[in-house]
Amino acid sequence: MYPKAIENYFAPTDVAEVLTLLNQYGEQAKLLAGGQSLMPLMKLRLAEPQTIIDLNQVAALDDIREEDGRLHIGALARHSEVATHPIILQSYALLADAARNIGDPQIRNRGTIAGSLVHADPSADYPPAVMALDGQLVVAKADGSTRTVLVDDFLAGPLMSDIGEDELVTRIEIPAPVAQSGGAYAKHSQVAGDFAIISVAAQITRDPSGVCQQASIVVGGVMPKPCRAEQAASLLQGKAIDATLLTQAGEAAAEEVETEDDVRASADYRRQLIRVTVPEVVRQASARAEE
Amino acid sequence: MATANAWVGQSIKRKEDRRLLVGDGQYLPDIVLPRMVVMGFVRSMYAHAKITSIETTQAAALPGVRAVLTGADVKHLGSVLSDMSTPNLPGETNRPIFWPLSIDEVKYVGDPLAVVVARDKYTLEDAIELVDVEYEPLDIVIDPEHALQADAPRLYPDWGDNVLYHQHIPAGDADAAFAQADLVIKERFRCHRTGGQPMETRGCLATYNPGEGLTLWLTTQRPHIKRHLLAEYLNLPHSQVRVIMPKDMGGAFGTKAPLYREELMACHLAMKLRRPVKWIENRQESLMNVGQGRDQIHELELAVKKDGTILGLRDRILADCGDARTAIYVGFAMPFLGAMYLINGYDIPNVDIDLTCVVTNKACLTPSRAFGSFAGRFALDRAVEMAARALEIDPVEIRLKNAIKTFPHVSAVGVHVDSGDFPGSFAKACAALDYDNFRQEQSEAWQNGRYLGVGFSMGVEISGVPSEVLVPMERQPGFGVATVQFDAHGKVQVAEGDSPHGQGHETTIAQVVAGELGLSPEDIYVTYGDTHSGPFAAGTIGSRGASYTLSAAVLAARALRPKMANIAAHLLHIEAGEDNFVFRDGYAILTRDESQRVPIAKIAEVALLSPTELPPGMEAGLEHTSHFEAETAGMHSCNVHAAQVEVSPDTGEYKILRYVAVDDAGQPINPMVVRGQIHGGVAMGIGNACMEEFIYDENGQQLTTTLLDYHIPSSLDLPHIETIEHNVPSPHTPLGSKGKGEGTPGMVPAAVANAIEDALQPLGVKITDLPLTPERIWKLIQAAQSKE
Ligand SMILES: Cc1cc2nc3c(=O)[nH]c(=O)nc-3n(C[C@H](O)[C@H](O)[C@H](O)COP(=O)(O)OP(=O)(O)OC[C@H]3O[C@@H](n4cnc5c(N)ncnc54)[C@H](O)[C@@H]3O)c2cc1C
Repeated sequence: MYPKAIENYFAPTDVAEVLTLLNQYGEQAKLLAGGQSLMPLMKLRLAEPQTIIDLNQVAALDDIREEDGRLHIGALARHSEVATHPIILQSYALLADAARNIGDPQIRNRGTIAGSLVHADPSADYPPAVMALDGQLVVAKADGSTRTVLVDDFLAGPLMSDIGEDELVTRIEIPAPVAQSGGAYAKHSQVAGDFAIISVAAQITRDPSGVCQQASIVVGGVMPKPCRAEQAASLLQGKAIDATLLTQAGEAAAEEVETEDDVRASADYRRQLIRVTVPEVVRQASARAEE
Repeated sequence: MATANAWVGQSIKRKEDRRLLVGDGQYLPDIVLPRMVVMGFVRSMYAHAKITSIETTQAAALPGVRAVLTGADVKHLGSVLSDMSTPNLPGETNRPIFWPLSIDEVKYVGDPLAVVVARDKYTLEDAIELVDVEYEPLDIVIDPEHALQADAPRLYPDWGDNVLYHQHIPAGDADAAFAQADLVIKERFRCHRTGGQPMETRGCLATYNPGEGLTLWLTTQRPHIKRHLLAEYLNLPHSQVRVIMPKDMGGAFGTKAPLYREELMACHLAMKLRRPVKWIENRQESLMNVGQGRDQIHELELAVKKDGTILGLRDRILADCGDARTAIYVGFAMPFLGAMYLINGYDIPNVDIDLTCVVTNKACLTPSRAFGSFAGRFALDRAVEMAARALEIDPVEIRLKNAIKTFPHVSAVGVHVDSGDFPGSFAKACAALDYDNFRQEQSEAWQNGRYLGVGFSMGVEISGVPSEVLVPMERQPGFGVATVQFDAHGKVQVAEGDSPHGQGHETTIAQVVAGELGLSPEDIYVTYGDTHSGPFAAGTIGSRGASYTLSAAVLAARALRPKMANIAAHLLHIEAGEDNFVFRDGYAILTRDESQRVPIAKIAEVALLSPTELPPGMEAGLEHTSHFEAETAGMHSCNVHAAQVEVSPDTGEYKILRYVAVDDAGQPINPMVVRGQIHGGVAMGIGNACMEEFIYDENGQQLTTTLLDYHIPSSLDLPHIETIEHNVPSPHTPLGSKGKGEGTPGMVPAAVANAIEDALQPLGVKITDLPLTPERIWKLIQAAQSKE
């Protein structure tokens, strides 16, 4: 439970400096954001970086703002900030739901959105939430270039994400939802603050008559990464959301999403939770869209 | 002189809390000695294997490493268990032979097979990684029923089988009872592996010099018992062994009562290296090694008459004790006591209990709050519920019909229960829940597709264990002991032999001593934990604080009053004996003329600072030690708990809407402290019954070695716990007080399971296994529906 010795520790103050250090130390370096995933791994000696590049002194990496029709969330935005930010509560409620569900207050005060996405735990709360919102990551490289990658592509598998040794996630971008949109997120866990057995994120856009124009539903807590329930979402499209339709969507999601057994739950039970949770979350998202 | 004790029954704030809340506590890790080194273990990665080689040279060569030892290096110390450290129970016992480190063979994942000593923890873990062990895997036995089979792999080839302990406990005539029964409930109940996981893990700091011998700071519930076992094992004179429990300890719950192999290793290394050796267990080691309790299968039968009278009980109990390699309890003392307490608060005259304890390739069972009785109490209270349902009798009525009615009571198997009042406790629980109207509410809820239920549990909890039981069971005394000693400034030191760590002794003992001596709790300071400055006692176990230890303090304080009165009379130049004085508000006051009074501080000053003023011929000093032994073979607290739940039939998830605990503390000394014990006990019970489980896979790998996988509840997972007092003073303690807290978790599993099953009556679900995870409940619902 004590990490292996590290040789270098850097606390750069701007992004350029981070990138230079990444370029120099590359594969033996690890970026340290909130430390809520990296430190446990180091203490278990499952990660043994020689160099730590601490991001916590980097200025302006944590701001949250709307710009050009997109929400920008700085890589270092803490879970607690996302959970309480007025803009997010107003227009991206499902993201706040997800952030509020993570761990406990200490973890939410330290952990960051980029750290969570890079860590890519299939049972974590942000990945399905950001997927349901069609979020993308902005990634910077030492050569000054940046690339943008859709979160669906960024999440590669259990604890695997599409990030190079010399790359830094600088922010997450989410397209602003059109009018009459709403989202919700819920998870089932064995104890409060634990990783999800199953979680569901849904984002719905309705027209004034209550007909669903656009739906995206993502299920977390499944392997190898959160899964879009496409069939369920397309069932909703063009229809007025009622109890029967919700049940059908739950059935469809339970049918299409592959589940597995592990210490927390069996595949069958996960399927049942999907069946029950999808309707609940879609109903809440739809109610928020109406507001 | 029977004056009422003015401080008894007052919820004053705990004296302990200030230091704990502001971070001034003194825990083991706070103790640092010059030249100190740290110790850590290389532990088995296999559940059962031959060790074919251990390569230590690389580890030993690492700068900063002070020693690397393997089993071969400690063989000369001899086997850990002696007569003194093995339970001395009736029945057939096999005793495992083992050393502080395993030699040649490992028997569970986590088994210590080599030890490393280094200058710091980082180097230590680097070195542990460098020890290269080669194993040849052996067949394993994980399931206790498999362990009983003739062809099962053996843990101890010198035994004839895998049976650690067996006892048959018959009483009355069970066969006749079953022959007369109108209804027989026959069910197999399974309680999983779960128990205590204290916030502070195990740890110790050992130091040795040939002049003074060995000093061991140890996270322990029983410093005195450890001391004499250490002296015996290490072959040191008793005068050369001192054990100190640090002032504060982050919980124990039973897990710090046994003597462990790691502690012996630290002592040996301190002696060998002549350096202070510190060991602090990490959380993974803790989850691999301690707090694994319960783990029993009960094949239980109840013989019941139509009117609900329970005529008899048969139970075949199989306990999975793991590898059985800890001293004092050796994995089977818990199931033994659990079997003795099986019938508990019920008056069942005819019983036939057969207990078999087996060894498996898992960690040794260790004690956990509610000791061995958690599983049995679940099984019996479930079976009673099933009988009630089959006979269409109300669950409260069937319990009242079969509860102990007259006290003192001796159970069929010989457990003495001094006092209690089950009808009174049930009445309060039912009133709190508005039980009379609940059934109506429940059927309306069912009609609306909501599933509400209520469940009860009842039983007795140990209020200390008398010598009569403790001497044979654990070879140690049950008396409580305290020295009450005035200092020269009129303040009073109470030295006790137990080692409290959350039970609030510093407050409650101060309250009673203050009351007996006419002082304020602020005038009293309680000390404990050091075998060189406190009296010999068994330790903080089995709710003996408020029953035994506190009673000793009361008796010792009372014993000082004649001398105090004599000094007061002398200072007032009058003739008067003890009965002529009351002690109040800091004064010895003459009853016939209250203007005649002497400050108690003055009396103490005369006794200690200016003995020239003492009455002629009187010995200086003002102190007394009392040993309290109750004049009964058992004191108990009788309790009723009830849970109200709502279950979601779609997911099996449920919410405990109400949890009502009606508890008997005899005479509470500090009702707030009692409530705290009950809150903690219920929380632990809910965690154990509903969420926590030590899981081993088919290879014997433990899958729950972090708190991410072993799910302890937090406040967010717990209901509001409503505590209601229903106190029946014990006739056997000077203040009527009873111990409280140890047995509390045992009340929980049946109350919650009964409530869930009650809620799901329309679906016909039957609960026999723990833990009560939503998935388990959902599967039961699925199974019941597919039967329809
Ligand atoms: C007890 C406990 C309970 C938890 N419960 C939950 C839960 O219920 N739900 C949940 O979702 N999560 C949970 N977590 C995980 C938590 O959310 C972490 O905060 C998160 O996964 C990692 O974020 P971080 O900022 O702490 O990242 P760090 O631990 O600092 O880093 C994680 C990884 O991301 C990399 N990294 C960090 N920032 C960047 C960046 N800007 N660019 C590139 N790479 C980067 C790091 O190098 C590292 O590899 C829990 C954690 C703990 C300890």
